[in-house]
Amino acid sequence: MKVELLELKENRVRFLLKGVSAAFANGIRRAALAEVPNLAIDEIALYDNTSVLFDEQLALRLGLVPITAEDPSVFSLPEECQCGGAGCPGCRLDFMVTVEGPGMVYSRDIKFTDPSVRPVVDTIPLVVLGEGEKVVIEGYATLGVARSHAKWNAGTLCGYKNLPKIEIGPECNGCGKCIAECARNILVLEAERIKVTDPLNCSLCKLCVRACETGAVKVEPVLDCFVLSIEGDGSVKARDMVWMATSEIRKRAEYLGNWLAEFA
Amino acid sequence: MAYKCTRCKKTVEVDYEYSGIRCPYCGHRILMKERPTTVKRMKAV
Repeated sequence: MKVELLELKENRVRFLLKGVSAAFANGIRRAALAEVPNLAIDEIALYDNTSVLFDEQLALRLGLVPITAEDPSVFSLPEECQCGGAGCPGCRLDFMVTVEGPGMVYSRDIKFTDPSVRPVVDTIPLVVLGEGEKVVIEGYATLGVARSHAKWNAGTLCGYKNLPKIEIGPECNGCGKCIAECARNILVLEAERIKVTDPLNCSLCKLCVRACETGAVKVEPVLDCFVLSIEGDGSVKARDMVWMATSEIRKRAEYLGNWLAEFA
Repeated sequence: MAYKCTRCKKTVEVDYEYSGIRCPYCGHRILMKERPTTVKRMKAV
């Protein structure tokens, strides 16, 4: 297996996996979507809510706010915590929201007791408060995985595709019909010949193949080569997300191996 | 159960069997259920 990094940003990573099966690439995608531990508000205690919004609706909105920590590794999942899930600073992050109207309650109004923990985006609107209306909430956030609830979803846009292989044969007459058909604009005409500028951007739609009357354009997927794109909501860095997802796969594979070894 | 009259804003006790839903002070028939003073705990889901 070979890995080639194509793009690395804070929230997005794109890389090439060579010599693997589709199941392997899909495993990384699924693990990044559902198995990466992430912070989210788990339980709240409402002291006052005189806004127009129902308590339950407000609770749901708070739960869906993406939360980030400077070092998420210092926190543990409640079921794996040394307190046994009873609640301790290692697995629970307390917060408070106290806002009085008139005005909008934003995600920045969620004040955590731990200064290293904060909402990813400050300007997520939660509820509009009228004159004299008030919201007083306290609660705690925990680590969790998206398998149990979507609010713990760290990977928001994860996908993969086969690496496209585009070949322009010698029968190409440079008519340019494939250039007009290509929705991604990756084909250009250079010296009466079609040239592929960015094959990684090809979506394998094969419109160019259908447009070519001479049959010079050939687009095929490379079956053991995948372009993986992992994008998160900002709560976990994309680089760490891939690392955590692959670690989870390895952990499970080791568990399965040990379990099967008992029968050998 | 204590309610609040939406017209005179007084807290009224409702006797369902005798008077039905009606404010004993002003006779208004729209009453509001007040939010309990207890803390409400719920899962953020």
